[in-house]
Amino acid sequence: MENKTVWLYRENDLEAVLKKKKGCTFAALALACAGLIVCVFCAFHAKDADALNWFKIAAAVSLLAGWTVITLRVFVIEPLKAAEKHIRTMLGGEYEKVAGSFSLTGERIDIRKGVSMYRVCVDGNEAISSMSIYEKKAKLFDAEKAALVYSVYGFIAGYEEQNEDD
Amino acid sequence: MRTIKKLASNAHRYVLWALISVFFWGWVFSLAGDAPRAKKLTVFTSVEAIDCAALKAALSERLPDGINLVQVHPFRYAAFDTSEAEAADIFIVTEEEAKSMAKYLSHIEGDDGLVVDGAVIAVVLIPEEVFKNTEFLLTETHEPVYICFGSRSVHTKSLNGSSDDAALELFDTIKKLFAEGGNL
Repeated sequence: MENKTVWLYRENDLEAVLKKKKGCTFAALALACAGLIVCVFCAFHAKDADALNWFKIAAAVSLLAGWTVITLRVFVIEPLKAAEKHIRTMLGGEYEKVAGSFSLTGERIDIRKGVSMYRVCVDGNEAISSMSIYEKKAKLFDAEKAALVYSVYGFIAGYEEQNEDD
Repeated sequence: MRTIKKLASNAHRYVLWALISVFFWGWVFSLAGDAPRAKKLTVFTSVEAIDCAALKAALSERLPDGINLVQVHPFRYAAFDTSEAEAADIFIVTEEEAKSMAKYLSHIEGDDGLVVDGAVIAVVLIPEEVFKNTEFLLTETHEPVYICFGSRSVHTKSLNGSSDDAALELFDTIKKLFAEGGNL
């Protein structure tokens, strides 16, 4: 009986990430525009007797809207961009087959401006001793059943599940 | 932990944005809230007890003809740039300050007021006794407060031959406001 091949990346993954990125970028832009409109409205009161209060409102709105946009960018949009880049690489890259026995470690590797990975130890292979798996794909990877993995630049893209009958 | 680490590594963005927000909008408000000298009257005061915002609000409702804007600033507003204070139309100051800045003041016609080198340079706005009008005062004052004209004003035609007498009109309005507690 043939081994079952499990692919960790699909076109759907890319579409989902792109959709989420588009939504968040739109939300950030909408917030920035709304903040700007409020600030401009406040600036029209610059000649009023209580201009100082209008200035305080404008500065506070600008500050909070800007900080929210920065937070969205740092914690949502940039990680999504990194995920998009990673998924594109995995979908478009050339696979290399790596045989051996695998074990998923809890060791996390944070790549600067990239996605976070978990280290996978490879035993029984002279050429490669460790590989990486994208943190969001780690739970789909059954290391104990994997007899052969497909890797792209050292990242696990899929694996062959050993048939239990064998 | 990861979140805190990420926040810390991006702290410069948050700090930079805070500075941009305050300084950019400060600059926009100073531009939008200003008017050409010919269209505005500027009052500077060294008397901490005077509520500049309340006085500005009251004067803005009683603008002389041809004037679009009245500004009332404390002297500390000119801490970094004295040019605006030196060109102010009206000053509200204590006796000591009026004497020290006599060279920046126009001579006022009449005998009543503060005399320096034989000329009247200021008239009393708030008499020496504790002033009970709280409309434009944040606290009570215990020394006389004087009102005077800037010699570089462009709105004191009768005193220095400039274009109009808007500052004199404002001067009368301020005196009336303080005398009648804002109930003009």
